[in-house]
Amino acid sequence: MSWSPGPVRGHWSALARVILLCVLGMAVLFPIYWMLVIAITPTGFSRSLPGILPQTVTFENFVSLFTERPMARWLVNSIIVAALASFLSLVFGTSCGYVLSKMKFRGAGLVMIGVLVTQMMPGTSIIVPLYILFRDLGLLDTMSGMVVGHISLVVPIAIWMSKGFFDRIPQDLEASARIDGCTRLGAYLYVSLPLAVPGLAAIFIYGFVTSWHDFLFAHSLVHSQQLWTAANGISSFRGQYFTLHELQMAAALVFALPVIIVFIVMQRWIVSGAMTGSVR
Amino acid sequence: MSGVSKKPVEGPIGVQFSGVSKRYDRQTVLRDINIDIAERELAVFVGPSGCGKSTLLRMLAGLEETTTGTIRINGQVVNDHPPRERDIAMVFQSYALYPHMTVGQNIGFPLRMVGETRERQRAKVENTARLLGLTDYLDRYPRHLSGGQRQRVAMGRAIVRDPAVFLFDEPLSNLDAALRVQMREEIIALHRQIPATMIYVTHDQVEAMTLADRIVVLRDGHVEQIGTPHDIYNAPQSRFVAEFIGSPKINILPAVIKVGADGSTKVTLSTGRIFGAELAEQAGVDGSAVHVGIRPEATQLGEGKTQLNGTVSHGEYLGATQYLYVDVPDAQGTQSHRFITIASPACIAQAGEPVTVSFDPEFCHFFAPDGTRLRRRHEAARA
Repeated sequence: MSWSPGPVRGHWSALARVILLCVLGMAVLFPIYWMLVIAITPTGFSRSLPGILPQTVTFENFVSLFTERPMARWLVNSIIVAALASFLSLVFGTSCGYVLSKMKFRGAGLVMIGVLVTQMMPGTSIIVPLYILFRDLGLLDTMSGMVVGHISLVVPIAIWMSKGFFDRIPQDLEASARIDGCTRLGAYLYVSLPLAVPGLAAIFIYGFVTSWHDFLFAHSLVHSQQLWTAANGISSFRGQYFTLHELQMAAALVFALPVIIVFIVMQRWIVSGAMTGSVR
Repeated sequence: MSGVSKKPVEGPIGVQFSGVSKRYDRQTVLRDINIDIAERELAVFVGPSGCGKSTLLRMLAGLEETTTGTIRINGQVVNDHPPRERDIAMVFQSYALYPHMTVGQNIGFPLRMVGETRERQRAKVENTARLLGLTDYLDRYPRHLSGGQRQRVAMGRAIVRDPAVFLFDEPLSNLDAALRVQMREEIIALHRQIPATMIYVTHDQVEAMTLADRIVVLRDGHVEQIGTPHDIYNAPQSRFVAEFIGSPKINILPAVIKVGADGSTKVTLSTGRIFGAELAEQAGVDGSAVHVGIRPEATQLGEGKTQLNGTVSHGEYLGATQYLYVDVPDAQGTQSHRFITIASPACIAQAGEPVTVSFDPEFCHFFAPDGTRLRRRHEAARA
């Protein structure tokens, strides 16, 4: 009988990989599972759960979110703010990113560093000056103020990301378009922009998620309950003496849904190899 | 540069560079370029990497600004015209196909940009595709095509709108050797079919020799020589041109000129061999150093008019012919010069074997130490 060590070793390493992946998978998914378990547990009973399985299943938490609490309004506010902030950041960020990528001018590097520096300061350190600025501009406690605040969060990264995407588009493609009859703007619209769509989708998703999850700006710049976003709403389930965990978890699950939908819709635009065949 | 041909172009001028130069910050990459290219001529700009040939083409296309001088297309100054107003088409080294458009959309893109009707677009694209054998690929995307097919699409996009001038920027350098030969033939055929001025940039001297009506040799940002492939090869106006054009490379040997009492000129090679050469009087300064250029095909193994003795370094067998690299020692025996000769493929020469190489002085080229050509008397008389 011939001795063959290879397959045995391969077998054990494959098994180890599977176990590792299972452990990692459980670590990632367990919090979501636990949210679901608490969300479908009757109000007030989540603290007395004997194990990790739900004892009584109920959907009354989800129902009361929309009947007793203005969850629908919070969601609509969040969608408006996130969609507007991410779309405007996309328009502004890609325009800047394109210029910084394709047009050579003195100080371009400095602009890029300046943009990056704005990301190095924590939100808590800029919220006070921003609050004063917004108060002076009359933007406090307004939807548009919150959109502008979120744009300031998203735009720097949008500029960096879009510059990276435009850098990957070969110069010859735009040169060719300009020879083929395009103006500079035409070359941007007909050639560079369509090729940057995967990048734009990624920027939009990033902007949407950043705005959607923001609590600091939403909490500091808006006071009226009718302007609350869902992030504000979820925090309202936490009181000084007790927290409505079941309602909060149900709201958190509902809160996650729009982001998942946006990601699924935009994901089809994020395709790899969009540039294949264009050059060499 | 004295070597630049001043012979005027016959017929109307298609493209003209007058005193053109290009500077980036403090670096001058092109200086005082003067080239006239006739209408319907296929001119090839050739030169080593970094000589400025692609920059010159991009300036003509309007993709680079011209620092000084004037560029004319069909008599019209185009310095300030954007690329789309220059009536040119360009094929890039990288193909530059639009990856999000099909072959048909790529070819039809210039027509769409000038507002052609859908019917005319379709008819012209189909005609072009037929001409280039792309009819079956019109609905495919560039990523589904081979390198040769992509290059054909790039050419199709260039020819579809009948421009006044075609620009080719090293279009074949990404293709394999066999495909390059095929595409070269197709470009020659295209030039016959399409009566337009064509400017082709390459660093490949074989492409330059096979394609060009006239060759423009560039070096370090200036024009070294302009001429037909025949002129460039047989009467290189500088040592650089002689060495750049021709494969295998021209043999260069150092020598000294001796002028006799009767006015006759003798050339003494560093190997000690002496032969007569009727150099023009102004060049024949007694005792001055020269470089003698001898094309490998002008030499032969064995005895002849002028002989050099050396030893075989190595051979390159090419099937139909054979290049022999021979080390020829100088008269003092202190150093040797590598000399290439063309031998019969049947010739069997071992490394280290002593051989005699001969050549006819009639086919030698002479260059001054600064690289300029020293003319023979009959050349000077013709000029």
